[in-house]
Amino acid sequence: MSEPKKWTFATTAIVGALIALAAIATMVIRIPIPATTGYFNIGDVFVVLAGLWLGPLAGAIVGGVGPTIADAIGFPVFIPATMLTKGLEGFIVGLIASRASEGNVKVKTIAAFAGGLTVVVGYFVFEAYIYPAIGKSIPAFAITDIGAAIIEIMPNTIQGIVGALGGLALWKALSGYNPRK
Amino acid sequence: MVACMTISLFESYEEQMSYFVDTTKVNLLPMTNGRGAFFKELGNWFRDYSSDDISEHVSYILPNPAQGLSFPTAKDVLSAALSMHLDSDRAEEEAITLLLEFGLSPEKAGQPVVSLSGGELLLLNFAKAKAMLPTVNRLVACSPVNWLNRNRYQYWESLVSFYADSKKNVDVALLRGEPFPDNDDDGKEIFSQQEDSRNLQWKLFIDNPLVVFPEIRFPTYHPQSCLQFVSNEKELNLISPALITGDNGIGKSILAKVMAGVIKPANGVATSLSANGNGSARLIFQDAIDQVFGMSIDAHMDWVFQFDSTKAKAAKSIYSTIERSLRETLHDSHFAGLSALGEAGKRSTLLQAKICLVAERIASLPPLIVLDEPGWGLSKSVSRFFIAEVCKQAHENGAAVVIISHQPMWWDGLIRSHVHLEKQDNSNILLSVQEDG
Amino acid sequence: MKWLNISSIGTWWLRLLVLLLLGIPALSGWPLTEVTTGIQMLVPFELDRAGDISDLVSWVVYSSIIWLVVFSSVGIRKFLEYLAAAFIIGLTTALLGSVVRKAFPILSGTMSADEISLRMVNLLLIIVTVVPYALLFINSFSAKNIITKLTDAKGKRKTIGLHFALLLRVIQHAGEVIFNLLEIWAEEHPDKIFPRHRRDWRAKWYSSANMFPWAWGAVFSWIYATMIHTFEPIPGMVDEVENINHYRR
Repeated sequence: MSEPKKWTFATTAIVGALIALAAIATMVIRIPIPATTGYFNIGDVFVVLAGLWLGPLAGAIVGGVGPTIADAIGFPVFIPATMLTKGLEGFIVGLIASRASEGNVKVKTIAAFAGGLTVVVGYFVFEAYIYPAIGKSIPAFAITDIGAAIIEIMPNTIQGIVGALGGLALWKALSGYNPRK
Repeated sequence: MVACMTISLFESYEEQMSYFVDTTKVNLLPMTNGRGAFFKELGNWFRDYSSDDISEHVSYILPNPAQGLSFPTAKDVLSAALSMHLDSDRAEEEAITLLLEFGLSPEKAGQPVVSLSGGELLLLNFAKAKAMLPTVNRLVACSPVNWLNRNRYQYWESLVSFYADSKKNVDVALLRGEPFPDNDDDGKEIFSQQEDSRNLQWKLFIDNPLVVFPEIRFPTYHPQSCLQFVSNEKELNLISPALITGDNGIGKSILAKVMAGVIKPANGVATSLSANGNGSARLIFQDAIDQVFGMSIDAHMDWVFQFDSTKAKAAKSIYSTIERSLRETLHDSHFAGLSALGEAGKRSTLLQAKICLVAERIASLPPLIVLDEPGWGLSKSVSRFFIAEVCKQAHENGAAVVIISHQPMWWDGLIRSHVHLEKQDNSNILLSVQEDG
Repeated sequence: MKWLNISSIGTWWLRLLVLLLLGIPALSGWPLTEVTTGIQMLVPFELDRAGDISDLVSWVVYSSIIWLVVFSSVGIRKFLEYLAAAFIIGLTTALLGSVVRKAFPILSGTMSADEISLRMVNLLLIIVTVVPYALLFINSFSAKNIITKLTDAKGKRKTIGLHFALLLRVIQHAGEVIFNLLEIWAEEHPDKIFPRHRRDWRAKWYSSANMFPWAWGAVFSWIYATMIHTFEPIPGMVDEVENINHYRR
């Protein structure tokens, strides 16, 4: 198991950079899913990277803040779902990744895909159950139902996979890991 | 020369930076070696970083003066530095005093650092170094006057005297031949310049372009400002290569961007006409490395021409010609400037990045190529030979060349026309052709 | 319309309260649903999709109020810039949604084509309302003042304050990077979205298909360039803040 690194100014700076990059990546490429008005994006790459590289706390912060900034500009109704789901995604990736040594690619890969799965499950729960329930008293949240949530499973799965693969590739570049060595 | 000031001379930017990193222990991430190398260095830095390793406290000035200024506005930079030994109210007041002391007007206080000119950035670095004086052991300055007009050298001398009075050392790292107060080494020209004897005539059309910078509030605040360029004649007949000079912050780089079409003027135009026809110029920015867009030099060349094999071939041929010619000359002259070109067969140095960018632009057959401070990061002799080769290739391909520089003496004998920018009483910027061109 | 100028509200918490109240309809749907019902009742004839259309009308009304407030607060020039950004984001999102509906019908579920179209129009209206509002919100508060207050703290809070200052500074820097890269891109790409050199695109009749790998490559180039330029000065920034933390009295 890798020793948790002390939180330094370097960590804060990297977290800030990843928050900004996650927000930009979420905003710039947005492909809406008609059934739910949710959207496909690639911001998860940086959330997964934060978890793999910096650990669960940094992953949670990057996930909870970065994509939420993007939602605040255009899709405000998704702010609660995004903040919790992506925050949890970063946390879970970091938690699993920190259980193994630095260069343990197998565990890091499991961590990355566990994060992707969190996105799928998290948004499903919000869109199928939580938002319809809240929507009964706050109409703005009555935008999805269980049918729409099921439809969004596929694009969210693709998003989770893209995020996991992208995050793993960047982590590999940063850690200098070379499978041929 | 002040007794506590040491000057080290280097043949290349890479050697200078290596010295800087060894001396200050500040990590500089490589920008021309490609993405893989960059991320690996970043990962290594983060892994090895420890806040317990506070070594000797040193203030520094980098060759790119924008580096090392970590706060958004000029006032923030100075307040942060002063806050090391003053409380915040006094730090804020003292910041304005320091700006004035180093030749920057109070209007610059709230201006974003990214919008300051190269010379203004240097002056801000001087002010910051003075602000840090009580807490540092010494100052390490790389090419500290490279982007300054000579009439502002007094600010550097003033900074050095402050350090001398406090009995603190000043280590200066210069590229050979760089202008510097009291520097006897002028960069011996031990090889002859192969000057291009062709006269490439071209025209610059200036129809009073007005550049308006809108107010910006995010990510940093910048008030609205305007620059109006004027000329006594709408059509300036020039001979390539031409030189554009002017005081720090007058708008030389802005004019270059207008000529290249990067900035669209609110009114008026600035275009050029040469053997390649008329239109917008191509531009190499002051901070040329940024234009490689984060890629390695080879990857950038492939990326730019991926859909035009003819131009790809032309650009690679121009690159090879320039690099080969430089290598031969530097090798024949036993001149240590060869380090600026790095290992044969590998492209990763600043000079090679500049050659690549120039070759790409020449291959696009523009009417004009503008090089903003092309001597940055190069010794005087390497700069001159580089520009001579660039002019030769550009002229052969029908493109005129313009150099923007603070060091007109560097280009003695190379330049055929000289345009000077000067602020008029009504704040217009007047372009005038000088007789010495 | 001076009373609509948010920037003129001196106290920060009052400004925050007013902005939050202004944003309630976007976040909660109230009172937009009441307005929608009212509009439906006012229409004297039977209208197909009356509910959806009334919803659009109520969003237009809300949007007009937001635009009026933004215009009064920032002036015509800034307002038009905000609108430009909003319409670019909104139109690309809505059009992409329509393309996705056509290309992947399964993603539309049981919704009909009309329903999807109305939903995309609704999305467009939401975006062109929320984007100017969000930009007004961000620009109504000074990050610098927050940073100054945090870093003025004494003792243990000083270090935490410096962490927040560095975090905000790096996020700010990432925004500056985008502007810098845009200038570099503008010099190299006069057409902005096509490569400058594309002679080989005319070589064969199918060569125009090159625009797809070009677009793909351009996206990746931008992602990597943004990352590299964002990370590049970080060691220097960290060193500076570390020294401030170490030497500050």
